[in-house]
Amino acid sequence: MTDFIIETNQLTKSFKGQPALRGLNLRVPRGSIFGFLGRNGAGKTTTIKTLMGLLRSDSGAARVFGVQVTDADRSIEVRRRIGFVTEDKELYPYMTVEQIIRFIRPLFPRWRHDLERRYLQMFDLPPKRKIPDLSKGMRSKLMLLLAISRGAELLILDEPTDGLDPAATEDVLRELVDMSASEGTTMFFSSHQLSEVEFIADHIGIIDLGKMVACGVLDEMKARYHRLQLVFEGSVELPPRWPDGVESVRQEGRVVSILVSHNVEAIVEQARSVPGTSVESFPVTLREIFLEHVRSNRDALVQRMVGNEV
Amino acid sequence: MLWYKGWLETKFKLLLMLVCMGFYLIVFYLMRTAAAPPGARPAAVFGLTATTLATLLYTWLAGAGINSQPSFQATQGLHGSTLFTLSLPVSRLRLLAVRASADQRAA
Repeated sequence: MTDFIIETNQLTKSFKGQPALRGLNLRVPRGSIFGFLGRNGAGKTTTIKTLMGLLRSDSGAARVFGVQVTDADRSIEVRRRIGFVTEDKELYPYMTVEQIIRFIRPLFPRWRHDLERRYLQMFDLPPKRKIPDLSKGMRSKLMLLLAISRGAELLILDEPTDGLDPAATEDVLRELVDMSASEGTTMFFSSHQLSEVEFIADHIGIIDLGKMVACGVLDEMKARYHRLQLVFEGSVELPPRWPDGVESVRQEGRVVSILVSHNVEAIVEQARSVPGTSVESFPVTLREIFLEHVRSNRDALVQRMVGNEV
Repeated sequence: MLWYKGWLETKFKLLLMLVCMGFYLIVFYLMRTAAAPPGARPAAVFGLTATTLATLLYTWLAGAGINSQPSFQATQGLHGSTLFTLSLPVSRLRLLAVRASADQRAA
């Protein structure tokens, strides 16, 4: 059996000639909490829709539980094992909270009545209220309830905390972590909120312009990256070339900040060799890693485009 | 359980349809002689108009489908709820068949 619950290989998808996915390679390990990050329009929702069989890719392959998402017969069984929260959190406007639970419940044989009762109470969802009368936050909570109570082995959550207030967001994130720890549920969720991802994810994938630009264990990525701060006593004179591993160099007055992805010792040594400088190393946040990957990917694309024009 | 959804989707339309048909029957009963052109049999006129009306109403009833699930004057949430439906562990064929037979049953 594969160790990856979700696997995509060179997945591509275009909309009216506009590429949304450009050879996406994604591996989500079983039992992980995988944070799927990207800017608006990076391809997160397209990836999720493709994994759920709601979109057909142009080329490449996508497997969930080892089953091709295009396999119509087996995909029904696969969908029975997935809890899904859609991006827009829209449900049937003619149903009440109670009715939609009654509708969904029999479709999932492993439905968790205990979780249903717990989240109804915890989220304070009024059973008799019609769905259009719920606030966006309440709809998010209802969708989470419907996804979690399925007893699913995999939760695919497209911006699950969208519309929730900070307190509710914290509660939901804690519940997801507890659930993953106690039930071994794999979670694949997209978010713009880097602090949320940093709070619960153990793996992250950063997608930009339809390609995976960074993927791995969050702690390993954070351990690998360092930010060096060089403070110059006099005028700033940087070496013309840095050793391999320098991702970016930014200068503000007499302070130079360098983001390093590997080869830290050699870079620190070279920085210390510059006369009149003090060098300090700091751990980096997920935000810095994210921004660096996204920026450098854009820069590379712009350079390629300029190169093609020339 | 798709039947349950089908019922919730179409109950208002079904009710309106029954009201329309009932109204038509009452009006036709009260005007059964006046409504028929000279020489025509009221039963034939009734049959023709009732069939036409029923066809129109069935078409209207069947107008709520997978892409337009809100059934009665509801326009919000079309796209999102469609995605939600398609993510359920139900084949597209079954969704379509239940929907069609719900309309058929109502008809």
